[in-house]
Amino acid sequence: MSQNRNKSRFEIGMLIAPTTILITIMFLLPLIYFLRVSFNQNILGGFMESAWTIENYIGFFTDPYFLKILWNTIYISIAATLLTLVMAFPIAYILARMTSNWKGVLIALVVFPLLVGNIVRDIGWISFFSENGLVNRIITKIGLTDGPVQFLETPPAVIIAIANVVLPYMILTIQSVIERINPALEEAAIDLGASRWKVIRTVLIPIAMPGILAGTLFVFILSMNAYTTPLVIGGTKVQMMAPALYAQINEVSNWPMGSAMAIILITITLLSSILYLRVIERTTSGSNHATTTEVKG
Amino acid sequence: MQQSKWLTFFKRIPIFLIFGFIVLPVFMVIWISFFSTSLITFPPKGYSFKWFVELLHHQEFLNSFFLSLRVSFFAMIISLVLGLLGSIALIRYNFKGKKIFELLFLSPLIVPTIITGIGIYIFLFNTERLIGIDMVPNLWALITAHVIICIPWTVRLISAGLQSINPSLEEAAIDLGSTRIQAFIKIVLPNLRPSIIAAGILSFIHSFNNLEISLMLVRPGELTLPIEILNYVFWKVDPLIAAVSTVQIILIGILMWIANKFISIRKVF
Repeated sequence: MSQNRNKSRFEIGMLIAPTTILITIMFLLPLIYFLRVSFNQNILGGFMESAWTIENYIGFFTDPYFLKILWNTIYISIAATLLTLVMAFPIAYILARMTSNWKGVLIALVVFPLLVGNIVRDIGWISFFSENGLVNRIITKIGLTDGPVQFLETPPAVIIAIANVVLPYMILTIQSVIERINPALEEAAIDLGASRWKVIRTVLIPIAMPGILAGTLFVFILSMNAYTTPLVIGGTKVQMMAPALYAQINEVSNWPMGSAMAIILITITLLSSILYLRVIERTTSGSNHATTTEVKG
Repeated sequence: MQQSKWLTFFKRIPIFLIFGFIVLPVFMVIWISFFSTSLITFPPKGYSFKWFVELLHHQEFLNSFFLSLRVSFFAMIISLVLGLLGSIALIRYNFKGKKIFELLFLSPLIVPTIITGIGIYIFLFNTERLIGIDMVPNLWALITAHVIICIPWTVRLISAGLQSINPSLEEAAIDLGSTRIQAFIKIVLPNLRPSIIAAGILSFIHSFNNLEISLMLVRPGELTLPIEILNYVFWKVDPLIAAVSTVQIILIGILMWIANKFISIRKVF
């Protein structure tokens, strides 16, 4: 018996050791080291000195340049999340209630842009928004403006491009929640005389709320962490945290500040998630919809 | 009746618009790659295939394309093996701290990829100075970084597949005299094949189009395809770079189509 248990322990060890060792060495240790570097002292010219100082964090929160970047990151992420939410719900609803063969095609259509990579999509957005791009061509042709309007390197363009990146995640999250709500519920409400809009508002949305909130959080985190899209579409005028911290490391060669920014980004994302989950818990506690919150694996 | 048909049509317009929005950037890229003039104008002066031919003369794109293929291929194989071993432990065994290991295997999903990439670079750079062995930039460091971001995908998909295979099948085989490993290879592995193929393809795609993880880890002059595209885009956007992107779109489209044959693509996200 005990020999058997030892054997089984040995097997478990052999099975999980490779992945555990790799993730520890190549992921956890680097992250811990990152945290350590953020307390080091930067010396001009790309050097740093081992220290225990919080001057990088103080420097970040007292410099208007960095605060502007942080503010950009937060409000652009919130705006992109809200825009995504508005667009995702109708699509998610239709996909969830669809039974025809088109369903598979439409889901593939939603997922596909997710897989082609951000830089490829950004090329599409540049050709769409640039000075001689499609939008400017159309609005000058119909006489809306005299000259080309600057869309690139403005917050709205960044918001739209980020919303485009994260929209599929929101659609799929909400769809999976609505799919598990029995359609009979809606039909019953309609039979009793409610309009479809009223059914959606008073029956569907409340039940689907945990899923909607989970999707919102997920999409907000993805937006906060966006790198390629703010870099390419936002350029130097609309800077966000992820590209800015990379620039600190790679261009400014200020590793301690870059590390501090990484830690700040991770911390703010984590804290807002915890806060948000707390709020969700409070608003949905008492209702019995917990079964709809689990997200399909 | 006629009227209500029109009404439903109008109600559907927002739906069409949103779907249009989803595919718009990809559509733009494919469209532009067929423009005949290097300077992009709307409407185009004409259409041509020449950029796809021109592509073959640009060694830097070919090189980075093949580097990306190589990196993603190795990352896929390694993360599949690790994901398979890890999943077997997580699904088929009971042990203390199982939740912690599960969380550990999925943790690379939580941290922004750009931070993971920089972290690996800084860590290896300093270890290199400590022990005096060159570690960055190095092809294996690059591949290992890609393995890290692929592991959550393979663990998730293979675990889900393994969960749906009844353990009593293996137990029956063991009762009939085969060893655990024999039972696994003969019984579980064939049943797990669709999940493994889908996990492989999706981790390949995830690695292939990931730009951030490689930024600090590539050697100068030996860039992965997304980085090569990014550097070009900083300079200009023309039908040539759209053609490069279109090739990537087609490759990923084919891979997704194959993956969809083995596992419902819906289950992945």
